This record gives sequence, C-alpha cells and structure tokens, in this order.
Amino acid sequence: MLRYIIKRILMMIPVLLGVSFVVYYLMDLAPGDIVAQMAPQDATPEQIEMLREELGMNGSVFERYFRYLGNLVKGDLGMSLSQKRPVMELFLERFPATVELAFGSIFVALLISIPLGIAAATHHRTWLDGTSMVTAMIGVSMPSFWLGLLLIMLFALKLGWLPSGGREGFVALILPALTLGANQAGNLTRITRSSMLDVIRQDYLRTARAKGVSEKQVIRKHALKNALIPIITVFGSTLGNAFGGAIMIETVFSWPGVGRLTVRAINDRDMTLATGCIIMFTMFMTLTILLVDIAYAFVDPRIKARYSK
Amino acid sequence: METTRRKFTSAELQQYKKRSMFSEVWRNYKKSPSAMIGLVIIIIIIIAAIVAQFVYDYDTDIVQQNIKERFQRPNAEHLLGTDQYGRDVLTRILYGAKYSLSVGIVSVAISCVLGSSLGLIAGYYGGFTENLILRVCEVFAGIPSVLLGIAIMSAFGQSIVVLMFAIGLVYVPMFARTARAAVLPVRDQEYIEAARVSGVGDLKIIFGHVLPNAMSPIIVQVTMGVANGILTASSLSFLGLGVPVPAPEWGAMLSNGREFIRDYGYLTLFPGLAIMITVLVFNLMGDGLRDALDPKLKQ
Amino acid sequence: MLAPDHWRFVLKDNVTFHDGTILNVDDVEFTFQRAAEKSTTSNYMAKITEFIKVDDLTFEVKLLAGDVDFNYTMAANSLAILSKEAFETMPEEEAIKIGTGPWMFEEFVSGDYVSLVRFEGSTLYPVPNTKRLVFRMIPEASARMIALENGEVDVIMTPNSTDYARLTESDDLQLITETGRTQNFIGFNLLNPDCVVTDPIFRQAVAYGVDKEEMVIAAWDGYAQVSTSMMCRDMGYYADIEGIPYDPEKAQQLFDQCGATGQTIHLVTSDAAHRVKMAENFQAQMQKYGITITVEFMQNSALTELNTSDGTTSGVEMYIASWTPGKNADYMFRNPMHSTGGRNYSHLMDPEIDAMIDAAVAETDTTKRAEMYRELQERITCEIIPWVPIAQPTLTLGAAKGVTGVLLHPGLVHQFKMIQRVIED
Repeated sequence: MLRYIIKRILMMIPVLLGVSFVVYYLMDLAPGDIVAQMAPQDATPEQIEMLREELGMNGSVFERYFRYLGNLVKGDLGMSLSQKRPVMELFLERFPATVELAFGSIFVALLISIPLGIAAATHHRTWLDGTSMVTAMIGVSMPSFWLGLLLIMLFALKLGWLPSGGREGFVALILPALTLGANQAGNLTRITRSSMLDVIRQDYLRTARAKGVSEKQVIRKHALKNALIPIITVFGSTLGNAFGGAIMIETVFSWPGVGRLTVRAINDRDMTLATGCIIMFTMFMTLTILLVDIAYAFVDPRIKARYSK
Repeated sequence: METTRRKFTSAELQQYKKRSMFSEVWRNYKKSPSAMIGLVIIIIIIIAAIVAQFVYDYDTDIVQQNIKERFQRPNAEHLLGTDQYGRDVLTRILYGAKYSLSVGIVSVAISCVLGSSLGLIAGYYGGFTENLILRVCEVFAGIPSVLLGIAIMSAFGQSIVVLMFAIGLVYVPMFARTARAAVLPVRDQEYIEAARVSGVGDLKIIFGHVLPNAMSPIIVQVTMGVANGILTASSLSFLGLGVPVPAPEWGAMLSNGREFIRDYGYLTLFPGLAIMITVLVFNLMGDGLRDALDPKLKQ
Repeated sequence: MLAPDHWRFVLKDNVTFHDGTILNVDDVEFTFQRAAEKSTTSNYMAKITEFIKVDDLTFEVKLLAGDVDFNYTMAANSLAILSKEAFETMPEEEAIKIGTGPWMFEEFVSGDYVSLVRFEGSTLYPVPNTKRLVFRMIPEASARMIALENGEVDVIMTPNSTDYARLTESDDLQLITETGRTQNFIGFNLLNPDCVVTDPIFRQAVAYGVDKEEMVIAAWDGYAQVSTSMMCRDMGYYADIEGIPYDPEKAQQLFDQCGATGQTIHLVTSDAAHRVKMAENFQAQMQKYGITITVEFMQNSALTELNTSDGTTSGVEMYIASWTPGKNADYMFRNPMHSTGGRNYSHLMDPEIDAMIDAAVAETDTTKRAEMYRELQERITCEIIPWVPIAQPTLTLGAAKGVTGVLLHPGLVHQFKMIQRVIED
C-alpha cells in the first residue's frame, strides 16, 4: 500500500513538469509584452529593457523557463510580475475561498442529485424517470454565468434575501454554491441512477423483498448504501469540474478565489502567477484524487488485496 | 466454388450483424421518450440552421446595424425583439446556430479523432508508448479546461478556428482514456492474437478489430462532447475570449446581452434558451444512447 | 518657475506623515533618489540635472531642457513623496504605505477588498468624517448595481449605461458624472506599405464617412461627447475647431476617388467592451460605402505591442485605441504624434509636426503658445488625419443619496478625500 502511494506521488512529478511547461510556453507564445505593459506610457526602449531585467524576463523562453524551474525545484514559485508579491502567498491567500466554494457546491449537488437519482431509478422508464433526469440536466445545460445572474436577480434583487456577492459570512456562499452545484448535479444524478438500477436488481434485494420488507425500506436500508459507492469514485473528477466551473462563478459573484486570480494572470501575461497557480491547482487535484483512491481501497477489499500483495 | 461460397457467407453475415446491432440499439433507444424527444429536436435545430444560411445574407442581415430601431421588445415585426444595435434577434439566433453547432461538432471531431487514436494506440501497444501517452494526457487533463482554453485562445488569437481547436484539445484526454479503457479488455483476446500471428498489420487490427469494441462509449462521449463544446464556447465568451463579433454565436450573444439583463432580459433569455435546449437535447440523446448501447440494461 | 529649465518649489509647513514625522526637503530628495532607480519613474528623474536644497522646506531643480509644464511632472502619482524616516525604521513594504493623505492603509485582501482608515493626525487635509473606507472588487457591472441597491455598498464605479436612468430616477440613489479626458479614436498605420490607408484621401473619406453621433449611441448609449478635434476638451490650449463634419455623400465620392470602394480593410483593437462596440458599429457603417472591414480583437497588451512595433512590417492597417493625456497640452501631442513618441501608434513621422510640438512646449508666451496648439490641432485633425477622433466618454459613478465628497477625475485619478454619507433620520 505504501509503495503504491509513493509511486503515485512520484508519478505526479513529470505531470507537474509538463503542466508548468505547457502553461509557461503557451503564455510566452501569446502576443503582448507584460513588461512593456507595466512600463509607464512614455517609457523609452532602454527603460523597458531595464525593467525586463529587473523582473528576470530577459532571455529566450527556454532560458526563462529553466530559470523558473530551478526556483520551482527549491519550492519557490517566484514573484508575481503584475502584483509584485510571492505567488505562493497570493495563491494561499485565495485558495481557501475556492475550496469552500467547490465543497459547498458538491454538497448542493448531492442534495439535488441523490433524491432525483433514486426517484429516476425506482421508477425506471416511467415519466418520473424522464422528468427527474431532465430536471437534473437543466442545471448542466445552462451556461453557469447566466444561471448565476438569474439567481442574483431573483434572490438578491427581487427578494432581497441573499447578498449579491462577496464573501462575508455563510449566507454569501449560498448563491454561488447553488449555481455551481446545479452545474454538477446532472452528472451525479446520472451516476446515482445507474448504480441504483444495478443494485436494485441484485439478488439480496430480491430476497429482502421476498421476505416482505417494504419497498421503501429496501431502498433506504439496503440499496442506498451500496449505490452511493460509485459516487465516491467520481469524487475526484467532480471536484475537478467544480474547480473548473468556479472560474466563472467567482467572477459573477465577486468571490475572491484562485480561479479569478488565474484568469487575471493569464490576461495580464503574468506568467509566474498563472503557471504557479495552475501547478498548485494540479498538485492539489492529484493529491485529492489519490486520497480518494486510497480511501476507496480501504472501503473495497478487492482493491486492497491487489495492492497488499 | 468453395471460396466463393465462403466469401458470400462472411459478407452476408457481417452485414446482417451490423444491421441487427443497429436495429437492436435503435429498438432500445426508441423506448426512452426523453431520448426520442431529444433526437427530434436536434434534427429540427440542424434543419433550421441549414435553412437560415439560405434565407439570410451575412452582410445585410448580420453586419448591418439599425440604431434607430434598437431595443425593440418582441413584437409582430421582430418576433424576438431587436438588440442594442437594432438587429433582429431571431435572425441572429437562427443564423448563429451555424456557429454554435459547428463549434460543438468540429471541436468534438478534433478531440474524438485525436483522442481516440491516442487511446487506441496506448491500449493496443501498452508498455512505454502507453505510459507516454497517458502522461501527456494527464498533463492536459491536469489544467482546468477553461484555463487551458483561455491560454490557447490568447496564444493563437481570437477566431472561430482557434476556438474549435482549443476546445477540441481540451477534451482529447477524455477520449483517449475512454478509448484506452475500451481496448484493454480485448487487447489479449484470442482473435486479436490470431490476427496478429497471421500477419495482419497493426493499423488494420486496431481499426478493424479493436476500434469496433470501443465504439459505443466513444459514440456516447461524442454526443455529450457536442454539448460540452457549446457550453465551453459560451464560458470563453463570458471571459471575453469567444467567437469575435459580429458573428452571432449564441454564447457571444448571451454574454454581450448580460449588460442589459435587467431592462431587456429577452436579449439574454433567447440565446440562453437556445444554448440550454441544444445542450439539453444532446445530453438526452447521449443518455439514451448510453442506455441503448449498454448491454447490462438490455435485459 | 525661475526659468523654463530652473524651478523652485516650496513645501507646505507642518505636513504630517502617517508615521507622525513632518514632511521636509530631505524626504523629497530621498523620494527622487529612489525614483531614479526605479524603471517606472527614472524617465522623470532623467529630466533633472541638479537638485538644490535651499532650506528645510525649499528646493530647486535644474532641468536638462526647458519644460514649462514641469510642475505637471512633479505632480505625477508615481512621484508621491515618501517618508525618509519610515524607510529607515521599517521594512520597505511597510514604509511605502506611509503617505500624507487623509486615509491610511489598513488591509488588502487580494481579489476581495482594500480597506483604509482615516488619518486622525492629518494636517495636510481635514480629517474625514468617515471612519473607514472599503474598496470592494465586483467585476460584474450588473452585480455591482444590485449591491448598491441592496445597500451592500454606498458607491459604485462605472455602472452599466442601462442603469443610469434607474440611478437618476430612484429616491435613494444618484448618478454622478464628469466628462472624461480620454480620446477614443480610429487610427491608421501611416507606414503600412501596401494599403490604401496611407492615401490621405482615404483617411479624409473615413473622417467624413463616420457618423460619430451614431457610434456614441452604439458604444456608450449616448453618454460621451463627440470630438471634433483630436485634442481633449478639458485641457489647457484646447481650441474649439470645427474639424471634419459627417458628410456621407462627400465620403462616398472620396472613397470612389481613391479606389477604396469594394476593398477589404483589416482593423485591430483590444477586447475592451466599448472598443468592441465601436469596431462593430464602424464595420456596419463602412459596409454602406462598400468598404468591408474585418476586425481582429486581441488583449490590450498584445495590441500595444503590435502598434508600437515597426509600422512597415506590423501588418496593421487600421486600429481603434484611446489616449488619456495629463492636463498639460504637450502630453496630448508628444507621445502619440511626435516621431519619437512612445505611443505613436499611427507612426506619424513628420519633421514639421515634430518641430511644432517641440517649439510649443518651450514657448513661454501663452498667446503664442495657444496659437501654436490651435495650428497643430488643425493640421493633425483635418489634413494629416493619423486618427479620426470619435468621442470622450462620460465618467460615471452610482451612489446612494447623501454621499458627497467624491470627485471623478477626468484623467482617471478619482478623489475620495472627503467622501461621506449623510444619513437623515
């Protein structure tokens, strides 16, 4: 087991190197010179060159990348070019907000998708099945920024119940989490439904039914527990989707997370900040997926057996 | 005599097999009302998109503005109203179907061809090749799709072609993984081994024997991919990196209309609905296909 | 000013820094020394050849060349005076937060807000009535407006133009406006070797052919002042010249004359919302004359890079950009029009214009200077036409009723020194 974990962590390294290079290189390819942009409107070419060296932005893209990589290996993500603060500091400052939003949204998504998924599975191929699935999928099918704006109009403007944005207090999380959660619900409903369908047909449930246990109890006591295991396995990808979706949601709800920070960094050609954020992001994602896999291995004895050999 | 007979039967058999597989899938697919509704609406949307290309002229109906008639609410003359430049919203939505659909379809074609080939190669050869392909895919999958999209768009410029390419590339890893997963169980099957021993080329084996087994999950993913592509395009529009104006791509229309969401809500409502319905029906079709192709549910 | 190249400045007495020390000439000298080492300000300092401390509150500077507008340079934001003592006693990142303004830095949460508290010991400005000032970042304009209406914030910058009516009509809100000093224009690359834009007749045709009023509605919902001159209106030495009026027949005739009708011209601009709208409207307007405009959008930094690169090879034909000068007239011309100007996007290389710009900035007689700037405006706006000036958009702010003390600054350096909100019972 330990060997497996170490192997997985080691496998992260080439991926992170690849990610850093792809991002750095793409941003270098983009036209637009951050240094010229930062210089005052009436700067001379010499001043711009001077600033370039100050920022360590001189030399070819490979020279700069390897200089960057050298620091990265030492755990130094460098300074943000546009904000002139350490990238790590900026990232850590805003990361909790994104994590909060992502987990909040997954919670909402589960609240929506589990009942809908069960309803769809227990009434397989009836109108209720279709309606549940369509309802669940409307959330995925709407561009999330539009849904967000509509929710702001309803709950902040018309009803005045919730704040339109910011991150003050728990209430501020409700709307962004709801928007992002609705976006995640479709996929989770689909998974709940199909795993529920699988479980319902299992023999032991037939036995339970034959014993005269009521259908409701069969579902609640036996089926649900087993049907929820597949949801754990997709936790990693769900979290990934939540992070991806958070980028738009953070803008709509002025939520101070890393998604917005990264988009700004890409737009400003702030290579160190953008690359640093994406590396940290990827690392966090990979570690989460690893944790989920380990947890899953403990739950499922078959997998545990395979790795303990 | 003997050879002709054998040829005849195998051709006949194969055709019969294909037909029966198709009809069985179709029979399963028909059972789901939501999937059928999805299919019908998709056909309607595609027909509307094609007809619009003949009815409207780009220069006069899309580029031309009419400031005097701006912000007209839906009425008899302009069924869905006019936008801030006095352009007819219905015209733009119908004409714009071309952009949204082609962004979805072309980008999915790119990711499907590239991703599936990589996945098949990885799964079939295994070993170092497989490892390399998987690692590269992990790199691209590791970067959140919208961020990768933005980075590509800003690197290669803002145009519809780059947008298709960007979205296509974003979903390559997904297809690669699906295809590889589908190949693994058949990789060591006897008939593949037999083909290899009898000197059939690798490419022929991959496309002739391995690919058909990976077909169903890929088909499902293609359908869903079109939906994803349209949505990603609208997200990029929202972040200011979508299809450039004046092309009436729905995501761009929706994103440009949000400035007027309170007073002229119809400017976001109609393109928003267009996106929502299209994405929804592709998702429904994907779900229907998944059920129809899944042997476990056939019982 | 003792001479155009010799200035004397006298500091106000008893100006207190946030750390309690009193401003004197040593702080100024320290600030200048630091500025000379920083790339963003070294060009200002390069103008100075000698710094003379006369006494604790008086200093003189001698300049490399005559500059009658040097006082504007001294007022640059990036030259705000720093406390020398603070830099000696505190780490740099703390010391740069020390100033003499009525607000002191409190906290900055990246992507969320910046908060300031009032400086109780302020002697330069009266102590504000408001205790704490928080700037929140709300990127979506419609969400910003709703935050104002819900009372989550008291003031919002740049509301959507569709919300202006709502602000003026509401009992609880108000709209504060000010004409901005940003000239928005459609420019030509005069060095492009193979495009009709180098033909002055074509540029004249565009100038006659653009309906600026319509473009102002399309891009700013009418909240902008149409420009007739290339110079911004609220600047010193602005001459109210007639410029080139909208005349579609004349435009069509000129387009036909230079053979541009039926041609396709490529225009580049940034993805800023109003520029996108200008480009879209320009495209529609030119279509009527049989000119097809293809538009390419890019990020602002990319546009800047493209426009400042060599005009003969950049491939730029037309572009949309803007220019926000300082209040001094020289700023209006030197950077975008002088052959050595850093923002000469049109690549105007005209020795005559250069000479006129250089002569005007050294002229001490205000009447003569005014005449020189009028001539420059006429020549550039009506004859050379490196740009077609379109409009100066209105700066706007939405606020709750009772909010006072906000000054919108035409050069975008808005003032919140005395901001307060009076709430009536």
